[in-house]
Amino acid sequence: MQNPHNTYFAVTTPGLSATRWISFALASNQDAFVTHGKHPLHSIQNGSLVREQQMGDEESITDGNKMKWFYENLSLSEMHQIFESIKPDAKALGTVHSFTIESLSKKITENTEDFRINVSNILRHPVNYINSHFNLVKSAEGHQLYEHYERDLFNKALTLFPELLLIDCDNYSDFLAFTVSCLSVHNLIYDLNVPDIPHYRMEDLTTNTNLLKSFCEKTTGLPYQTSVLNQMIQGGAINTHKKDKNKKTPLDIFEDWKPWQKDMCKIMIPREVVEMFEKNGYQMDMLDISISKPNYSEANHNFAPGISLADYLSEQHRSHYGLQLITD
Amino acid sequence: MNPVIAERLTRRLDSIIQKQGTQAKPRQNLGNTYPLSYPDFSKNKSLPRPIVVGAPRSGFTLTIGVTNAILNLHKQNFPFDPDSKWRMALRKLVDIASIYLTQQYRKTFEDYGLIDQLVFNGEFHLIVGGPKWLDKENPARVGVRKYLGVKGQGDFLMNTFFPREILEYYDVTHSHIDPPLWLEQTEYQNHTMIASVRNPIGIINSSSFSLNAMASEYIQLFNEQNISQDFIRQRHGLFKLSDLNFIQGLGVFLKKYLDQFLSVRNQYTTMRWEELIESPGATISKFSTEIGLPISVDQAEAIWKPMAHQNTLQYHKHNFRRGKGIVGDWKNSLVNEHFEVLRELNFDHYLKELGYPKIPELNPRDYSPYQKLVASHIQRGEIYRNVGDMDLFGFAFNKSNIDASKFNFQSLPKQEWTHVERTTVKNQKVVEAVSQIAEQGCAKVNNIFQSWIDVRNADTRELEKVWADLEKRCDDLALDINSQRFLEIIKTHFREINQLYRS
Repeated sequence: MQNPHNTYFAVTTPGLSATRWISFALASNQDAFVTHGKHPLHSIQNGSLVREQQMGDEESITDGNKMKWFYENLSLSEMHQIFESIKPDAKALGTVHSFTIESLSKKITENTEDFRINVSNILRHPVNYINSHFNLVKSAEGHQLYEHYERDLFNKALTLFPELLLIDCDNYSDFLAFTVSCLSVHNLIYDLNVPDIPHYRMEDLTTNTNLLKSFCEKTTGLPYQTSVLNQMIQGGAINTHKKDKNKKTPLDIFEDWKPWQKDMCKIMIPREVVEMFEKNGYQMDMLDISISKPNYSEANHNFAPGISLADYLSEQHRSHYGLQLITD
Repeated sequence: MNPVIAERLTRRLDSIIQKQGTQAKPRQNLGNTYPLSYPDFSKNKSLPRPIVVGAPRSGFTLTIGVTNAILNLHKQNFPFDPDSKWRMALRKLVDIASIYLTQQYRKTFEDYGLIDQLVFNGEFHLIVGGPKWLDKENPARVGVRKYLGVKGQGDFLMNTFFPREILEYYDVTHSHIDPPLWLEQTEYQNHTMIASVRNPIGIINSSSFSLNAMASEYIQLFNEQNISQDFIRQRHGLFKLSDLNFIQGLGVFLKKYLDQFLSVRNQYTTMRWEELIESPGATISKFSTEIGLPISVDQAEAIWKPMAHQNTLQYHKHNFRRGKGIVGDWKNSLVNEHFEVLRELNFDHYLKELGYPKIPELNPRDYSPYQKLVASHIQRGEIYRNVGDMDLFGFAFNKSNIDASKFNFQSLPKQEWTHVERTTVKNQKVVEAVSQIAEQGCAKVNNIFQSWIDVRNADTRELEKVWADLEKRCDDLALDINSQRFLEIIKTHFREINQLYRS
């Protein structure tokens, strides 16, 4: 049963949107108890933004899934009771990046009693997100987490988009990482079933002190000090995805991608998701397929065929799930 | 006739047919269907001789199949006309000639050590198997195109020519080419002219994903990894759809056909593919009435059942695209750039004339993932290259339904009975040798055909005399290829016809 004096909150996001940094921002009011992702529950309370800014996001790979069972198996009420037992004097308790909108709404539906929770969602430009996610998957190679990417997510992507088997694949590991990353953006489509959730752009929260303050206060119902939040913004990001001094725009990143990456991105991100981002002020032209004047290339019947994912799997992974989709 | 009266009469006729149709319960096995209870339209007339003309991928094979089935239902209502025996004998000769020429081709490949690599689909073993057309320069001849491939070497298209009477091998004569030319022939004036019609955009789309008989044969022989035909179609389709020259080639070919067809369309009874797919029973029944061989909706549905969404050919096992055959499916694979090419070819005019909506403008945001891949390649000016097995790709490249002038294929000089129209085979000597043996073989069998054609209207004594002479000449064919088994087949065929004439 919820404590009527406390505020409960959830900041949803698929991740890689400065959520650890945002967790520290929310926890900058001592009356707030914040958990982050599937990390150990104390990780924000006992953690240090300064230490993490120095060491980067290495712990995401090792610790980032430790509490998966907790969020999957417990009800929201049970979770909040445990949060309250960890920090009994907290006035606002909640999670950041432990749920997506979809997974949270499922949890809420499972709850039988009346339930109040402040929910807000963090967005990030999908091109930047994919870029970061790609690096995350690549860095997970050799770890247990990678198995989940390959066996569960990659295979799911192939089932949803068998067209992926047609796409150029000169590096399987890159192909897999990019596919899983695009799938993560694709999955935002399931979030769209839940209307009226306020969206905040990560790009704004990490640069606009007033907005960050307003976000924190609306989320927890607690007051925040502008100077503290401003200091955090000046201090910069934890994760490496924001340490790029060149500050590439989404368009720059997209232009640097290989054709197969651009194609994959276009086919996997649904129209509804693109439009949701546009509605929230993101420039999404790079994902648009607009009409162009017919471009007649030189008719050529003699050429060396390229290697698609299907060709790669036929040669290298005869028992791969993807091949089952294209064999009789 | 006053249109109102015409409409009333049509409705009356429809209701009579409907009533009688419901009384006659069709059996599932059409071969055993008892005589129809319709008024006998055909008394003192011979069984109609249909000719089906249609562009490739226009529901052509389905229309032939439906027409054949309707014909079979009515066959026993018509007297066995004297010409039937002659035609049965002609069919035996076609069978013999087919064995002869096929064995000659095979032997030539064997001589070059290529028999294990030969890709020659069974549909082409019959000399009338393959795309057919009346020879414009000499319409007394029919051209039949053969596709022969050699794994690792390429393929070639060889046109073979025969007296057009051999088309009577089939109850339903059929061709993809030149609708007006068929009407100009005096000999076909009493035939029932039928055309298959489909939305031209659907034809272009279907052509982009089709697998021809040679590709089918290759898949059956060499597809060791069992890669699904659907995936093969998808990757070949992506190559084709990302090359606007290719789409233009398909469009130019179809445009030529449509210009010809539209100029004479009133003289053809049409079978519209979309109607056949969406309401087969009613469409087939209506069509049967239009060609003078009416059947009920129940019977029509029984006809349709074994051919709906299935492959209907014997050796070409990939003529039907699994999970497809859906009206308007082209909206999931063609993109606006293709439509622009088709607009430039004036396809809006053809759509209007044939009663289809004009070419649409799709919202690229609604494209399917496959369309997005196609559009991205076109916009980059990049033709998709991951086509897999290049042998299969070469064999599957469209042969008969494309204006291939931009694709630089080689050809050999025309001969009297044969013409290698397009070759990619590396070892040209093999092609020349096959072409040579085909030329000699066609000359021989055509001589035999002509002798039989010359006595078509002769009395039985004369026919029997010529038939006996032909047996000796056919025996010589068996000696040519040194085959006792072939000799036995010839003997059996001749014996059967002898018995028929004596009966």
